[in-house]
Amino acid sequence: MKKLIIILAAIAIVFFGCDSGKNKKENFGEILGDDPKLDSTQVSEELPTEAQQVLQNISSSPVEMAALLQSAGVEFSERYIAEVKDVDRYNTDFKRAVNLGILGADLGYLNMYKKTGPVMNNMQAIRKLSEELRVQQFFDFQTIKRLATNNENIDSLMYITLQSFNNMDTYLQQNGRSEISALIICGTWMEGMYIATQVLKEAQTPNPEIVERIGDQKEVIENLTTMLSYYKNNPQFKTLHDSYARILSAYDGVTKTIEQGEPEQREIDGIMVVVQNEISHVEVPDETLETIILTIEEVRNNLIRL
Amino acid sequence: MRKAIALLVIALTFMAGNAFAQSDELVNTCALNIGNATYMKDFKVKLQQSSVKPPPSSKFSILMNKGTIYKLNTCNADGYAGKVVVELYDGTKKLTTNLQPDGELKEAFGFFCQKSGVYKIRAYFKDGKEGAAVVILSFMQKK
Repeated sequence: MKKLIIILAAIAIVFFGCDSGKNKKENFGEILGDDPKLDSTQVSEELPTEAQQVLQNISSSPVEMAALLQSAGVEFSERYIAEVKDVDRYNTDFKRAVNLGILGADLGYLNMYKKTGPVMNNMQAIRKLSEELRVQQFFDFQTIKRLATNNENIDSLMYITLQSFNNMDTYLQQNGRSEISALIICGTWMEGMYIATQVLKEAQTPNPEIVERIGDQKEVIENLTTMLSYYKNNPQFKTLHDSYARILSAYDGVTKTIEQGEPEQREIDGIMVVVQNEISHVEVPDETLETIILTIEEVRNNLIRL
Repeated sequence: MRKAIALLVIALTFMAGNAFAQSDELVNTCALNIGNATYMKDFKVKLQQSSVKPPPSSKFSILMNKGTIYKLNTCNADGYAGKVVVELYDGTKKLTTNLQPDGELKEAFGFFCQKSGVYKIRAYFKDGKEGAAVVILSFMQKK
């Protein structure tokens, strides 16, 4: 009980001490009135609402991917995540946004595996990129730092970081900066795919669940490629679009079949769950998988070298 | 999970009226109810009273993956008469809802996805009443 009170008091002091609330609102207002020079990411087209909604929700996938890897018994490896020591070289909003997405996916991976040590380095880089993209107001770095240094609060850390990314996404899309949101989403998806495909690349026997999840991403890469096509008038977006189109081509051999079945209800962990018995089966031939792995590796490494 | 998020929520309460809007407070409170599931996303719904049938609704697209059990938790904001009804769709096919045949509204329900793809969440307020609510999407990790 004493420990609990101390923790609560400490957190409260941090919040009162930094007095961030009012300032954040004021900053928020300034940003709304700002006319940021979006360098080469500035584009005139807006995404159709439906495409925006789908893409906004893709951003959570790497957490699920990391959870799948963990449940499949895959060991954590720091080799899979991007280096964070040199983010200063990302000198345009285009590069910053893509790499913010990549670092966001790495953060999800680190959190899922409860690796709080590297989380702090990752957060430093996220802080820098988010400040340069003028979206730092969505990250309470003080609290994140405090949670990261206390291993007992991993769930809270995961919650607060995911929510921060979600709120940032919503803000960007609602404030005429959907191109930045799109780039973050592209980076996030790419990193989740990179981690999973590297796991497969190094596995003696590829885990069929992970292979199927990679195959399932065909629909996502179709959506991402379509989304990027809206911005193709911009040369950087065109290059990114072409890279993602190459990944989509790598998926040519992937096939999906649906087995029909009626849903049933089951109680799981105290709640009623509808179990879908319409089951998808995704086939990824070995050669196709190899092409996907190599293409993802190449595109991802180009993105972090931007 | 519950204990850890409870600590965070209590701390965030100190910030009420500052950086966090009312809907974010509701999200934080609602996140307490997800149990051992992992938070993914929240959807905020606010709709005016309407006599139109069917009542106006908010729709969200979500990607779901085969082999994952998703959980949807709902929380209604104080001061509104409306209680949120949440439905999950695969295309035009309704898969599940928190509205029970007897009219009861469950605060949490689950969906075990066996077909990866884009699904839709439709949220509206029962009887077209004015309401504000949040829906939290989380997933349950395999043990």
